[in-house]
Amino acid sequence: MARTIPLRALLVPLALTPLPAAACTLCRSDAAEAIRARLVAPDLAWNLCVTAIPLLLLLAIIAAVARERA
Amino acid sequence: MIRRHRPLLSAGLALGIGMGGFVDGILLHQILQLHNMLSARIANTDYVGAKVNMVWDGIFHAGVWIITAIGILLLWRAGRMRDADMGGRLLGGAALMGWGLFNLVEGAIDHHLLQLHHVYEPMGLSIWDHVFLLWGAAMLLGGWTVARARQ
Repeated sequence: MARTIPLRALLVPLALTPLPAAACTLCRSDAAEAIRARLVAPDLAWNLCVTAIPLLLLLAIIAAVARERA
Repeated sequence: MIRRHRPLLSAGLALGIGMGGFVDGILLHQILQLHNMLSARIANTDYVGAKVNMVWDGIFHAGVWIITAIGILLLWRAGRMRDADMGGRLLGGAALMGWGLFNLVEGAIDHHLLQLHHVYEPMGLSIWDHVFLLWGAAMLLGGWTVARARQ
């Protein structure tokens, strides 16, 4: 009786092959280093704050409306 | 009286803010590519700048996702309250008001005050940023009218 090899047995070694993650543009390459360097520049905290400010203000409005009054 | 409306009003506001944020992020940032989150400060015309702006767009989207999730929780909470007004007009009006609020707050702070980006970035601060605010004000007023007309 012929035995068939499960497809999973063929795919697992393929998945474990140490190929570089080509889709990850933030992982390697000179461009990736430049992107990371720009992201963690001294203005990182400022950028984070200004991105969050409008959203926090809108959350405060929601909280004020949602708050139950006795 | 207002106490009965607060649960659904707050849920609708949160959902409207979330939907408005996603329309801005998906339509203006990604599909039309008119601007990105920090495109007035970090030029998005080269590869590195575009990728950095993409990350900040993602952080903005994460925040908008959280507000939408809060809206779903508030809607669930309102549905469990026995005395809460659960009218469709109130929910629709509140969602319109939320979307309008998003445009007004985000437009005033990010476009005009901090100048992080503008609606049509190549023009800088332009008529389109004023249209964005007017659009928000119109939605806020329209939502208010719809919500009040439910009775």
